[in-house]
Amino acid sequence: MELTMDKIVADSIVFGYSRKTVLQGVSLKVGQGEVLSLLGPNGSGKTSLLKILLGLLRPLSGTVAIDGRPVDSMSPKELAKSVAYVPQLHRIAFSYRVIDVVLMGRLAHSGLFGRTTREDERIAEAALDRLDISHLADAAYSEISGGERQLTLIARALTQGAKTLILDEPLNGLDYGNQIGVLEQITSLASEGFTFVKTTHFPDHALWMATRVVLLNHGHIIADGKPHEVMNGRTLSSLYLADIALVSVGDGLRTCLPRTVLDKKPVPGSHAGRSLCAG
Amino acid sequence: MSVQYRTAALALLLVAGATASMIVGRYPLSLADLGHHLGLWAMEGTDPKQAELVRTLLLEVRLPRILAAICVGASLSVSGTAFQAMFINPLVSPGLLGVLAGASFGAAAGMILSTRWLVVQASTFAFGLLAVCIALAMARAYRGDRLLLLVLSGVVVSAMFTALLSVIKYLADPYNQLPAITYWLMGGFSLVTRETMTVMMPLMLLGTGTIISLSGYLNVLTMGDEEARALGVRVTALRTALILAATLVSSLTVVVGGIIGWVGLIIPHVGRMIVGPDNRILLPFSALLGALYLLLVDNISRLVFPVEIPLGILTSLLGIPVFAVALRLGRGGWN
Repeated sequence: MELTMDKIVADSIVFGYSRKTVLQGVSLKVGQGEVLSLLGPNGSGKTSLLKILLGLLRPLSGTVAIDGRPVDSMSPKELAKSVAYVPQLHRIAFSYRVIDVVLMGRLAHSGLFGRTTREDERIAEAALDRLDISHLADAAYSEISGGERQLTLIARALTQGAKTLILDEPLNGLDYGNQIGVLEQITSLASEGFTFVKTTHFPDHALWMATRVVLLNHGHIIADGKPHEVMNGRTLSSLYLADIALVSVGDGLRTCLPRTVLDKKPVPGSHAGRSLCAG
Repeated sequence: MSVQYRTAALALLLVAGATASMIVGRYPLSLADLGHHLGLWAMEGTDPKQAELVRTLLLEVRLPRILAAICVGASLSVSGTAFQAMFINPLVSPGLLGVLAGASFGAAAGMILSTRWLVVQASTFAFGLLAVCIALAMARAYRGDRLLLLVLSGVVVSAMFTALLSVIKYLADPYNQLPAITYWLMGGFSLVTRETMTVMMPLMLLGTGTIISLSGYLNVLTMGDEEARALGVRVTALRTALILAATLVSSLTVVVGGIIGWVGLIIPHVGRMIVGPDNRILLPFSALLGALYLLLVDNISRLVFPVEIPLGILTSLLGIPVFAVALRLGRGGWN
């Protein structure tokens, strides 16, 4: 019934540091159940935009509303109940148990002293179960794989009670199998009505599962729409300053191929290869 | 053994240690004597005059000293644990933001300016607090990584008050004041009175209690500022509250017993090795462990040698091998 409701509305966001403008009037609306992939080269303002949507950075001008409420009018706890942050794969200083990391998501619901209850523990366990990592509950967060850590952080986001998840490069540093595992969970959660905004460095990930793609370059949105509408050889090539082709592989599926690299791929036994061996 | 049992076992050890500390000393007593003199039970054939003397010894000398060791040990360990978590750094100790340097200067200045002990205590406390406030204000004045700026400001403020302390020492009368300052800064509980502990103990319990009650938030702070904020934590307010509580109890430890080094650095590590890094469990455990450790070391300082060795010297000398063993045994919950 709320399918048309906007989870995030960002209007004319301008952001920058003393000498450098990072975002120059970015406007964005994200509806419920969308999986939005934010693509752009390094320094295009992706991460700044995510942090502004989360209320972690304050824009120089422009407004952000989450679930129809302006972000600056919400307390940190209220904000945490509406929108959750899944940071890049990171190492933590202390080896907490996985269940304790997930339980941190319940702080937004706790009282003055941040005590969690038996009910909070039950919610955290349910979130682990939802992501099929219940068996890790007592494992040390520092000793599980990168994919499992990312799933733990997603479980923590669910535990917050947030329906909108903002992920910064969620697949960075994960092996291929783990990348697929995390994407699978994101897709499945989106079908239940969760909304995702994520940055990615891999256009293919956007082609696989995003319902919407936003291309960001030099602090401007240069394209915004469904993946098949906005992702093509021309837009991607101009975004990444490389010759990129989108190739149809049947069934309406497409994949990215970087021609710049493929054209120069050395052929074994060719001149270049021989000279290397001789050296 | 689960962490709850370990904490309970440690609490029992502390009670046993405190009781034992009441009966050992230059004037040894039996457990029966102790009960009698504290009015727990009556004993036949005691000389009332003698009994009055023993009662005074127990309540005016031994008990305040034992409570001082327990409170100072717990305060330093809890502040150290909180600081190590908050600054995500294993080398951090309660003196990081300048509280100990400031309090040392305050004590020395007090001794120069007044012969009244109350003035010295007030000055110790005030300058400990002032040093940290200066560090906080300095860190606020700049943009950038909050934690790094706090650490740098703390280093600067510590250096400043250490230099000012040298000025005081240089100006002090070298026959009376200078030795008094030097001995005081070596740390020890031989001057602790019941009056001092009556005022200081509630304040130290309040400060450590505040830090322990915020332990759930402390775990989240170790994930980094942005993540903590996204989880609903008011990072700056929380960190300021924790720093102020830790500063309160740290400067009070100097008021009670001078500079007692190493406890706030090593006890958190040893505690983490025993019960893990979860601050909800680690903080109360550190409090008990630090209390027990300082109680034992204080007993060594007053019993083992014919002349009392300043406590700060012993905690450093004993702390180094303890730390070396702790490092050898494990990383203690750090990655």
